[in-house]
Amino acid sequence: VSWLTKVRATSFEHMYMLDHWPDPLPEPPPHDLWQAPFVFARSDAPLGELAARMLRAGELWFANHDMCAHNELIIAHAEVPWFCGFQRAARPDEAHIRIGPLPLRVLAPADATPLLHLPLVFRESLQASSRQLWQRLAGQTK
Amino acid sequence: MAPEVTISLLSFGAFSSTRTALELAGLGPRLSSIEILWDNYCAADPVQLADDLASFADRTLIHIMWSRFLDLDDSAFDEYLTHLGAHVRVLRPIAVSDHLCRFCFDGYFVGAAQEHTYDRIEHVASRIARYQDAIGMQLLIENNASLEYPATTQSEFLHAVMERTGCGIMFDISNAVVGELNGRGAVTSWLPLLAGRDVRCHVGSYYWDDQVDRAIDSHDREVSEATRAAIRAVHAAATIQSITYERDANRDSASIAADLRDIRASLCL
Repeated sequence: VSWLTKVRATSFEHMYMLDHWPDPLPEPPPHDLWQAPFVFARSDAPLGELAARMLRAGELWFANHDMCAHNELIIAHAEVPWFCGFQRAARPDEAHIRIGPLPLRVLAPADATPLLHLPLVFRESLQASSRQLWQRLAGQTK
Repeated sequence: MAPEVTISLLSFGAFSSTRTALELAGLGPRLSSIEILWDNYCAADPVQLADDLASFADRTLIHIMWSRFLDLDDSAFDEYLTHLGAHVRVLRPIAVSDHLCRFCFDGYFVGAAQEHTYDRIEHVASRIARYQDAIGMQLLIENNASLEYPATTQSEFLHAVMERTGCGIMFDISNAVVGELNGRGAVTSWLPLLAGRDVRCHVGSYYWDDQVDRAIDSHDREVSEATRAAIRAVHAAATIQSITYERDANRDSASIAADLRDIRASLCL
């Protein structure tokens, strides 16, 4: 096995959340790296599966291999009250904060960007919201 | 001037543990310079970041892993350079370094950087020239931990790029050891490129992956004896300005401190 073959297989499993390498490999839609978990998601996937993909996307967004300048990411369902939030550490010895999924409507679809082919929307913000508020909401996350 | 041994301050979450490791290593609470992996700070306010880093060191080195500067289209590359340039103007680093790597295949990302194929020199040189214009200083290019390509292929390509663009090298000593373990050429095959130069270096660690039958750069364990021997060889051949110690996982402060002491001993400090 070559290193590239191993890394690609691991990446499909971890980032794209596929348990096998698609053959033939379809041409992917343009996507940021953090959006990889959504590329192969079904549009009618149950909330539980979408939640798992949202949380993996959040991990990738925290790793920030897209080198983006945003400090906060909200991913929400476009139709039902349901969201996840991710806020970066911004000062020494802070940790990243993850919220959700929680059954709240925090993002109007009109104020957000559709997420690929899915009933999800997202919004990235350069300025983060109150860290205290986020920590309180994170405490409500199961 | 004696080489400086410093450390990569991996992320905001690593400040306290890094400070502890430096104190355990006898390097005190402040260094002359500290390196940051900019990937983990690029969303930060650069003015605030400069203040935070000032508690560690007088000067900063910026190292970048995932810029994908060879893969990006022109507009995304410009956007990246504008973003980085804003930080460089505030942080005023003494060095900025990046890699020749691939991160995307057939439109899909991979989770670990893949070695460049050492071709398309016009594209590589053009991107490095734009990079240097944007940051207003020389860019240092790090050598890869070779799995498939001979060290001589890589060093000749880097030399050609350096000649064309005026960029420098960030010599990763443990990456050269990985290449040697993978049968891609001895560490000493790099010495003609380094000889007589002032070089900044990285030192990290690696493991042997049985599945691919190769040594893999990993930054997750102690520095090997082979790497310490390579530090001595490089020190004898070139003028080492600094060695940055990289530890991304298994960040035990005592283990990091022991490595820092060993690196200093390899430099007779």
